[in-house]
This record gives sequence, C-alpha cells and structure tokens, in this order.
Amino acid sequence: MLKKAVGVEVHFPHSQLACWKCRAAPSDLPVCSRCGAVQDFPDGLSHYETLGLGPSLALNEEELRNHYYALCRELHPDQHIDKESRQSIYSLRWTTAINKAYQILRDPIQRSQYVLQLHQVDTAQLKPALPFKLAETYLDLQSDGPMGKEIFEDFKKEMLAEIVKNEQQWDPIARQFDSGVDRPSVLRQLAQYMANQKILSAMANDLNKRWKE
Amino acid sequence: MPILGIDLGTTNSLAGLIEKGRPRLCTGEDGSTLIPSVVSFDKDFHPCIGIDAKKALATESKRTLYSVKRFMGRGRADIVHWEQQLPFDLSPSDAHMVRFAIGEKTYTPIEISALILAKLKRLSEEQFGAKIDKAVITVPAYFNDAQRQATKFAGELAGLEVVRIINEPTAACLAYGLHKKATGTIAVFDLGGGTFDISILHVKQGVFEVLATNGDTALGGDDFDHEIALHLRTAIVETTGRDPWSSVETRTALLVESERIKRALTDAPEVCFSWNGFEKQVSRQQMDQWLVPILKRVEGPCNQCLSDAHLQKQQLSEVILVGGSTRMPFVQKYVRELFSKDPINTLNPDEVVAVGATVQANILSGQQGGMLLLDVIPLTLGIETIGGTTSAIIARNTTIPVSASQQFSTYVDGQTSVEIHVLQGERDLAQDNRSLARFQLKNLPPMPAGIPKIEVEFVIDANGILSVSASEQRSGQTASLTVNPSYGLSAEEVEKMLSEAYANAESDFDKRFLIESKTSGESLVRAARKSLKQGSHLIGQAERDNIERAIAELEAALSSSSDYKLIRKKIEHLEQSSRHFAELLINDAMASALKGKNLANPAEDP
Repeated sequence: MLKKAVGVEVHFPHSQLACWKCRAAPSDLPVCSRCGAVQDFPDGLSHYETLGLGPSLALNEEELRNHYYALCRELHPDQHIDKESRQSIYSLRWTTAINKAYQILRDPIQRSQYVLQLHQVDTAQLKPALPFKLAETYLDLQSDGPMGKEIFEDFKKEMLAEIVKNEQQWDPIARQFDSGVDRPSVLRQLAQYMANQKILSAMANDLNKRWKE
Repeated sequence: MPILGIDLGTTNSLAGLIEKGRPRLCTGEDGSTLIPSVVSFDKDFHPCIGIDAKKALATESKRTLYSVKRFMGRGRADIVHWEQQLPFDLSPSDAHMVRFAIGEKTYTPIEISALILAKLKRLSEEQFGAKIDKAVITVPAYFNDAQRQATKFAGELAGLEVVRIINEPTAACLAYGLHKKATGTIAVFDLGGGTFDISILHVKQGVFEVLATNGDTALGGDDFDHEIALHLRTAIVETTGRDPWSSVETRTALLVESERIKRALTDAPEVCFSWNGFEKQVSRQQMDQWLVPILKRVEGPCNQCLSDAHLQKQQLSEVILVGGSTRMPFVQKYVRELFSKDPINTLNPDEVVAVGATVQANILSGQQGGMLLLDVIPLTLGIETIGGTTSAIIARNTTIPVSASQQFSTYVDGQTSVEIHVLQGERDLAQDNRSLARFQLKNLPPMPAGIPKIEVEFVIDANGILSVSASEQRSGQTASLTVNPSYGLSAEEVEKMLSEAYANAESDFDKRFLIESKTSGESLVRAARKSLKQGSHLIGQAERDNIERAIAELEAALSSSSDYKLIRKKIEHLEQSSRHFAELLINDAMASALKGKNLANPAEDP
C-alpha cells in the first residue's frame, strides 16, 4: 500500500509483530498493506531501513529528496490528526526517525561516516595523506608571524585545489562500494578519504580565521 | 468545527478560514480585513479594540497600547534600549515580564494580545456563522520559545485552543503556493511593523520544506517611523526651539505623523510636513537616505540564512515580499539588489500571512489534502555544561519533529545530583543564551567523577513543543519535563489569570453586545410600528400579519432575553419580513413627493 501511495521504490523490513488493527501477520512496515494502519516504529532499524532504502553510498540527492517528501506525505503526523491516537503516536515516531535518517544520509560526508560506523571501521588510527609540500608550507605559515597577503593567497589557491582533488576521489569510491566488489579494500579507501577530508577542512577553517584576524 | 487561521501582527491582526477552497477573512467595523492591534481603555477600564482604539492613539496615549507584540515573551531587561520611545508607561515591578501601567491597573502583553484574539474570534464567529474554539496562530520565524509560549497562552486566555504555532514567512509561502502551484527554492523576505524574518523553502509536489530561517525580532516599520520622527524632531527643535519629545502627547503625535509621511511617500515623490506652523518639504529621496542604516540590518540575517541553507543567492527561484513595509519602493529596490532578482509582490502583503494561516488550519482540519508543511526550529537548543558554556544538542534549522541525545558525566567525586539547564540560542556562553528551563536528576549513587553515564534526550514534536529527559545508565535514575516556561509567574498566578480571563472576557463582551443589540432592536420596533401605521394600505392582510408577528417576537426577546444572539436573530427576521413593505413605502413616498404630498406628517408622533 505504501509503495503505491509513495510512488517510489521502497524496501522496508517486515515487523516482528502482527498488525495491531487487523491482526495481519507478519505486518508490513511502516503501514499495514491490508488495512492501511500505521505501525509502531521498531527499535534497531538503520537509517537506510528507516527510509526504505538499500544501503547505497552513491545516493542521488535529488532522488533522495523526492523519496523523503513521498514518505512525509504518507507518514507525517499532520496527515494523521483525526485518526486513532495510536496512529498519531506511531506516525510521530516514524517521522522523527525519518527526519533523523534523512539529515544524516542527505550529506555525503555524514553518510560516509555512517557507513563506516555500520561496518565498524575504526578511523581513529588512520594518518591523513597530504602532499608533502602543502603540509610543509602550512607548518611554516603557522610558525612565522603575520603572513604576507600574496603568500596567503597562493597557499589558499593550492589548498582549494587539493580539497577539490580529494573530493573527486569520493565518487568512484562510492560507486565501487555500491557494486559490492572488494568491500574491505573499498572501506579502507573510504576511511582514508574521510581522514584526508577532515584535516583539509580543519586547515581551511583555521586559515580563514587567521586571515580574518 | 472549523479551525481559525490568525495573523497576530504588530500593527494589524487578521483572521479567517478556507471556505469552498478559497480563503475568507473577517472584517472589522470599518469593513477592512485589517484589525489594528491597538487596545484602548476608558476610565472604567473597559477595553476598546481595533479601529476605534487606533483613533485614541494620539488623544489618549497613556491609556492606549499598540505594537504589544514587541513585548511578548520579554522581560524588562530585554527592552531597555527602546523603552524611551514609548508613550505609555511600564510598571516598575517586573524583571521577567513587561507590564503596562494604565491608571492604577497593570496589564501584561499576553492579556492585551488575548483581547485582540478574542475580538478576532468574535468577529469570525459572527461573520462565518460558526462556533470557533481552535486556532492556528502565526509568529515571526525568529521568535524564541518564550515568545511562542506567550502567544499560545494569549490564545488560551481568549478561549482558543492553539493547535499550531506557525512561522509567518512559512505561512506566506503556503499562501503563495495555494495561489500558484509553486515549485522551486523560494526565499520569503518578511518585513512587518516590528519584526524581520527571512526564510528559505524548497517547494515540490505540495511539500513545503523549510531549509533555513533567520531574522531580527526587533526590526520593522516602527523603527522607520521612529527614525523619521527623530529627523523631523531635530528640524523642529532647530527652527522653533520647541521639542516635541518633551511630552507624551506630542511625541506620539509626531510618530503618527511620521508614519503618515512614510506611507504617503510610497506614492508621491514629496510631501509637506507641517507642525504647529512649522513647515518642511520631505522628499522620498531624503527619507530613503535616513532609513538606509536601519534597512542595512537585514543583510546579516539574509546572508546567514543562505549559508545555513547551503545555497548561493543565484540558486533561488523566487523571492517573495511579505509585510506592509515591503510596499516601500526603497525596500523593494534594496531586496532586488541584495538578491539580484526581481521580487514578487503579487499577493497582498498585509493579508498573505493570514491566508497562509488559514491554509495550515485547513491542512490540520484534514481538509487540505496534497499540501504538507515541514518546518524547522529556528534557534539551537542545548544545555549548560562545565565552565558555563553551552553544549548544543539540536542545531538550528533542524526539521521537526526531531529527537537527539548526548552523553554527559559528573565533575565532582560523589556527586549525587546534576542540574540540567536547557538553553536556546547560538552563543557559546550559557549566560548569553535564553534560559528555557531547569530541572534536576537526583538520587544518583555516589561515584567517582566522570564515571556516571548521563544521557540527556531532547524531543520536539510536530507542534514545536520541547520535552527533555535525563537518565543515568548505571543506576537507572530518570527525570523529565515538558518545557513550559511561566515567565516569572507562579502556577497559582497563571491559573488565576486564566480563570479571570474566561470569566471577564465573556461577560464584558456579552454585556456590550447586549446593550448594542437592545438599542438597535428597540429603534427598529419603533420604526416598523410607525411604517405600519402610515402605510398599511400598501400591503395585504397576510403580509401585515407576518410583520406584526415579527415585531412581537422581537419585543418579546428585547424584554425577556439577555442573549444578544437571540435578539440579533429576531432583528434580522423582522428586517427580512418587512423588506418588501419598505420598498413599497419608499416608492410611494417618492410618488407623493413628486405630487407635492408627503406620506407622514413630521408633527405626528411615531
């Protein structure tokens, strides 16, 4: 029922329980396909399962948004105001979880972090890999006094180029992840990407602050 | 029973509902949909609300309250910098809530807003012919929790269950979406009498998703008026030596005049300002110059909003103008330059927010299928942690409903309780943010510092109501509360205010209507009797009997009933029954007049 109403491809897990209203078992999630009643939000669903999505890393943001809107139109508490209070409560729980899942999955950085978490990859030990020259210049600039405008502008350009270069790594990694091939290696690459990205944005923030001073 | 959509504005208030798919707003005594948010008290403290109260602004400035919205949810300390501008008095007592002093009585902004809301309720019930006890009320998007709760409380005092508080720019977007099947990324620039909001929404297939919102709750047309008045005051002082600021009456009169000039300069390039013999030409160009520093204050919020929405201004598909102040050519030009885009102002900027409220009311009544609003919290929520800093738990512009939690621990060995201090705002230090509530998690078993695992969970439901709970994992101790700030009032005071308001509101209004209806009813009976006496030869027995019956019914209601609604009904019935007769009378009178004869001799008594 939800599939038709929502109009997008959805893959929700089944509930462990029977439908509270019509007793159909096992019940579909989030909505019973026999009687249309909203079911309770079960514990332990991943963000992907909450949105009825497969665990893909390379999500298209426009499609994801359409998907999210379709779910909201079906499940938002405002659409269940005059139903039994049980449905109101369940729709509130589902929508709260859907909002959180969407917030994480819509941003590629948070999505990547989440995927690494799901696969229990420890990122703490990783050392970021930066071009030696870039790191060297940065450290020099830290130790000297106020930097000249030209030097700063040059370095900023180099930094931005490096950030863009790193960002471009993400697409192929994501697509390889989705293909399922050589998963352990892909996860390592993803973790490395995240470590690099983290240090680069920290450096960029720091430079912006220093320049403002 | 329908849900009323209400725009409780700084300068004007409006209310209405959707009838047969179209928005319909109630009208005041002057036939306008804009009911001035002004309340004036006579010497017996009977309130007068709306257009009649507005007339008292210049003459009874100490007993007439306006722009009360600027005081909602604010304490005395919050308003120190513009207290000087006010013609009416503030009571010296309160730190948490502003109180207006009128004679020996004091009123809170909530009570004044409740009077306005009650009037809107009454007008709507009369004009739409339905009992109303639920409403959707709009607030500036940048209103904090205290300001929203104050608005909700005002609704309750007026006899309305406020089923939703909705943000004004979002409401405007809903109105625009109703008017034109909208799709795209829309910025709403809302500059009203007292507040400024900028919101950016993404609209697609009936879903209105707020991406980010920002603003300034103390910036609006009132500030323009004040700035103009200051410049005029300088000119007056320099030329005549007299200072209009020296008395409350002249200060208010100058503000009123400044507002008139501001509005006149929207259509004319120049107007003449005259003041007790002093005259000065004021040009639009000159006024625009004066106002630039004030309007510039919108830039910060606009840029921050774009940044929070992760957008560049080129990515916006539309910019919509809302609020009376956006009528000014200078504001429109500024917006055009700021966003490099021609803004849209096809909808009436004064009505658009109210229309949006009626749409949301309709959605919540289950009558508006196909439209859904996804709103956000405007300000970051957090708790106070060691060193007096704020630890954010839910970031601003997060879509609601939402829940989030964080883990904390103790800092002292053997600590048996922790205080949870809930804050709202963007600042780092707790003291710079708005305090929403405090509660304690008690009876923790003594443990070394840093060992307890205290999880604090924030939950905001679809209505924007915040609940906070805390639990210590090892011991299982829990504590929770639903955030309901009382702005310095005790529970007893709140209950007293509520019950007094219900009692007084009903009886005061009912009393006045009764008097009004009785007066109209009595004069109608006299007139009808007189006409029958003089013109009964114009109609048949059946019609005459009909009219006599209607007169009798009205007389009965007048003498025995204290229900003004019944009297009104009987008045209408008599008017209907005698309509045809009245027409005949008029025709006959005209015919006779032409022949030189009159129907009734004025010397005859009625």
